[in-house]
Amino acid sequence: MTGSAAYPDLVAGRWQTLPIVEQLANVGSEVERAIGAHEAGRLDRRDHAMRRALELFDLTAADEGLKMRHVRSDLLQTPDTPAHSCDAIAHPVRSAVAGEIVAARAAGSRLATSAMLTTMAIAAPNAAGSSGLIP
Amino acid sequence: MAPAEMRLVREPIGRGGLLVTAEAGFGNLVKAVVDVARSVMAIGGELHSDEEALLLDDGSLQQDLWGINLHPAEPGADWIEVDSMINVRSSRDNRSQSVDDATPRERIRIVVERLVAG
Repeated sequence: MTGSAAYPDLVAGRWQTLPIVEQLANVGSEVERAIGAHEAGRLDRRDHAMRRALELFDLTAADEGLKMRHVRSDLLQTPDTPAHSCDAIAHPVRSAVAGEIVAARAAGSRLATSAMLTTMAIAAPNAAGSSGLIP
Repeated sequence: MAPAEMRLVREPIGRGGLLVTAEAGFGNLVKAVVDVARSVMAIGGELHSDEEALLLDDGSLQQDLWGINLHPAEPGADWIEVDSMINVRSSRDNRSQSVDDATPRERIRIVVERLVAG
């Protein structure tokens, strides 16, 4: 898989057809997986999960119609390590999804609950810090 | 390399079959959704939600579906990672990406071991 996209179909355009709340829930899912792998000392799994998270997040951030581009800019300025990337991505994802969840819940999307719980988990106070993920 | 093709697994495919799917997709893992009632699983999807949809189209009930990641190259019990966004289900009081109830978790393991025998 080295050097190729983990999500070729999504990269080819399907990602942009998904609701923003579903996009962010999937990103958050990979970030939470990375945190769990880090806590378990599975650095190989952590790095793979972060790579997948960032690939998906890039697709969201690249959408001109969304307000995520500044987040990607912030990410580009962080040291290129899984720990720093995880820290940089977890909090803005939580922040960004908060507003989207309100709309999704109003529309009756069951993904709203998934997104909310996932993003709360990944960005809960001290979640990453207590794991030692953030230096 | 061609992307992995999403499909249903009803008969044993062996670790070798999973390794091929992993190589064509994420490299180190295969995302899968298991129907613990019908003993069938979907593999090869980019998202667990895609595999969930495939199983629902095939007649599965959502309450029986759980998302996992399989690491076919890894030895030991850790090769089955119960972890998916679709597992977050307030209707079953499952509030994490894992599966909190030991009964479905054990059923997942039994179904996977049967479908990936060899």
